[in-house]
Amino acid sequence: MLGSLVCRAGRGAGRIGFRLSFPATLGAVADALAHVDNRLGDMCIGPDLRGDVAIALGEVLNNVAEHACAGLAGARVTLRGGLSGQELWVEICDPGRPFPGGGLPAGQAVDLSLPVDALPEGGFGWFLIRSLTSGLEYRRQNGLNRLTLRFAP
Amino acid sequence: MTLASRDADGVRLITVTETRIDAALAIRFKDAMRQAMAGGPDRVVLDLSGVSFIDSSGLGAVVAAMKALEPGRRLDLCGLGGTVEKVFRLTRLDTVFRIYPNVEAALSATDG
Repeated sequence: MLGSLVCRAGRGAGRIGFRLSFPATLGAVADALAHVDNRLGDMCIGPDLRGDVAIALGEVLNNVAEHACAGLAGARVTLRGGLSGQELWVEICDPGRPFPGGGLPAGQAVDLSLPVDALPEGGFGWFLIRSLTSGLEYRRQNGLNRLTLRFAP
Repeated sequence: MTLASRDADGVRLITVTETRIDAALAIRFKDAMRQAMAGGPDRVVLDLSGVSFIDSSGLGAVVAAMKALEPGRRLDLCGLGGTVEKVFRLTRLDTVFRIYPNVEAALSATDG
């Protein structure tokens, strides 16, 4: 949601972006999300969209820490983000392992029509990422994973 | 991860005092929930009104807490706001739990 009347970055907001780098660990995710949330606020992005970004980006960063970069001492994640027209994009770059099979997970909805004892305790992550984004791009380049999340206004 | 717990009107009311239930905290949350639920009334209500963010690991931990209850006991939720309400709705986990707007509504519920 753009164009709030009270916005510190009113002039030229569309050109403002952010970049940050932090360790590829679970312990660094909360601070990174808080930082991004602040930058998005500076960019006049409203709370609903900022919430969607936090959920989707949080899932990606958890996966980077727990899967792609697990066991890679010193690995760091670099985030970049900005507005392209009305569309917000966030790129996550990490030096970890590529996605299994080279492509993004399908992220199907979890089957909840099961008895309580059999309900899944995971598998919600990629479903949330796909539900909350308007576009996803992944490429493997020079030993780096580059995943771009796009969010329609 | 600390949880506040008390019994009221035959209900074990557990309040999450952290603002996040995320992957970094999910295992500790599960352990704390098992302790907080132990030996209480059959009905457990988890108050999430102080939680502003939950991720898929946190959702899994809430499901795990429900599954850890003995047969005949039940976990209900209350106080879901903002992104927390949204992830429960998107994943349809809002159809798995009975969810109340707040503690008062949860405690006064007579539907079971």
